[in-house]
Amino acid sequence: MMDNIEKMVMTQLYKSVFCPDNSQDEQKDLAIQRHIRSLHWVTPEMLHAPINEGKAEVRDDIFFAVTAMIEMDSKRAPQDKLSCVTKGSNFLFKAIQGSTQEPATADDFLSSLIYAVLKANPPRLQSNLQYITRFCYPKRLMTGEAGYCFTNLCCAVAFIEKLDAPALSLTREEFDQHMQGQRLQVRRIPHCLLKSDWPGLQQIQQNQKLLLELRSRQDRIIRGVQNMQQELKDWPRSIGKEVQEIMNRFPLHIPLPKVQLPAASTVCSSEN
Amino acid sequence: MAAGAAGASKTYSFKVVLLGEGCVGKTSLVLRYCENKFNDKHLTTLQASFLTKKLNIGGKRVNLAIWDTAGQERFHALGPIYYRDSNGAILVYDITDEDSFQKVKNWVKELRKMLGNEISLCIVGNKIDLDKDRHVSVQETEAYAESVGAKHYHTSAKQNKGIEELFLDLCKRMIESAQADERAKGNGSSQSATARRGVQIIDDEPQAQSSGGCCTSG
Repeated sequence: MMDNIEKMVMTQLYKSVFCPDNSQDEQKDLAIQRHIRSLHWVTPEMLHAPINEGKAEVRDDIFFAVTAMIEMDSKRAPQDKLSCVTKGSNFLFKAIQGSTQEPATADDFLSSLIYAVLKANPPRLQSNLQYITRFCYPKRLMTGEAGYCFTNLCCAVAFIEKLDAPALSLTREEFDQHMQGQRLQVRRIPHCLLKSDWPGLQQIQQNQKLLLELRSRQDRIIRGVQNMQQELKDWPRSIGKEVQEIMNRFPLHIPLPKVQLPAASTVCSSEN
Repeated sequence: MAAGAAGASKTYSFKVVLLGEGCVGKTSLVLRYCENKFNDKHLTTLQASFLTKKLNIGGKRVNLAIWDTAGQERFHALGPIYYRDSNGAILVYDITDEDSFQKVKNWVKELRKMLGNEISLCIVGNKIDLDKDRHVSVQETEAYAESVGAKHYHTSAKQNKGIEELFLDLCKRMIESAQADERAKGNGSSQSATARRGVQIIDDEPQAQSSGGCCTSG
């Protein structure tokens, strides 16, 4: 009963109390949105989140969690927003269990939640959190599973706001490079991707094999060409040598035409 | 907020936070308590970070919500968000790890600073099955616990020792403090104990204006 009344009242009042003009919420929304956008390069490994993105189910669960978090903005009543948070969290729990095969601990959950928030970059995040804190029935917010998930979401946002290099176990320099987009994202390939049953990988392997074969063929061709060039160079030399040898063996003696000279002079003189 | 009255028989709902360093066995402790499982290969539990347990202590029903908190150092600053409005705290350390006990001391200081004496503290030395590797002395920890008004327990999640007692004892203490809270409320004076939780509105401006009028003129 209380729930329904709360829901109705809040749905009616939503426009006037959500992100009111006189609060700084909007600026904060934009600030955190920009901040999250600049952190797009953060990987689960950096956060020590036990998420194995190689598994299809895990990827799906993360995707659903992200969707639920984005959906939060479209709900009006605080408890509906809260149930989105819970839904997202449950998908994350599933994702963690799918990755580690163990029940999720708070450390696992929080780091995965941070990752999911970074992925989702939910619209008007700060406004939504403020709205829930201000207008949700306090008892629900402080006890119960929804309360726990919401508390963790607040923690995640607080963590993201203060995120710095040591928190990701990076050095100051690496962090700055990432922030300026100078550093290329180096993603470690999850080992499950290396199993041969992944179709993309099979294709890659085939292509790689093909390329290797082509390369060895090309190498052979190049070697052949080089040999041929060498042979071409050697050929005239050997011919020359042979010719020289033959010339040495049979020296050419051209007898001087002694007899013809007087004949020529006689021709000249006869003309004169 | 501490206790919700439901009809004739009371149902208390308590929030208990679980604090402690990374691998002191917080998760094993709650899993053992709530589901009686330890390192089970076929765990069906999805998560161990938020667990609830219903208890009946001397006819009083208790709903216990156990909040696991992230214990890694980089999450330390987020503590206050977790333990806001909690009725009890269980601070776990590993008896083979001196460092984890130092962390417990930090938590105690912080909790006392933020929540005062309203919270029931339990300091728990876990992993007593590894007693031969003990690095934290029993005398020291018990003396410390007494000095800060906390109770000290020894547990082993592996052998299921001391856990039931720990939670039962904590619940009894939380019930006591909740009852004390109620009595203070029942006495009519909405003073210290209750005013502390809510927002205190001190209306001193009108008073200053009408100071010559009625209240403090004499």
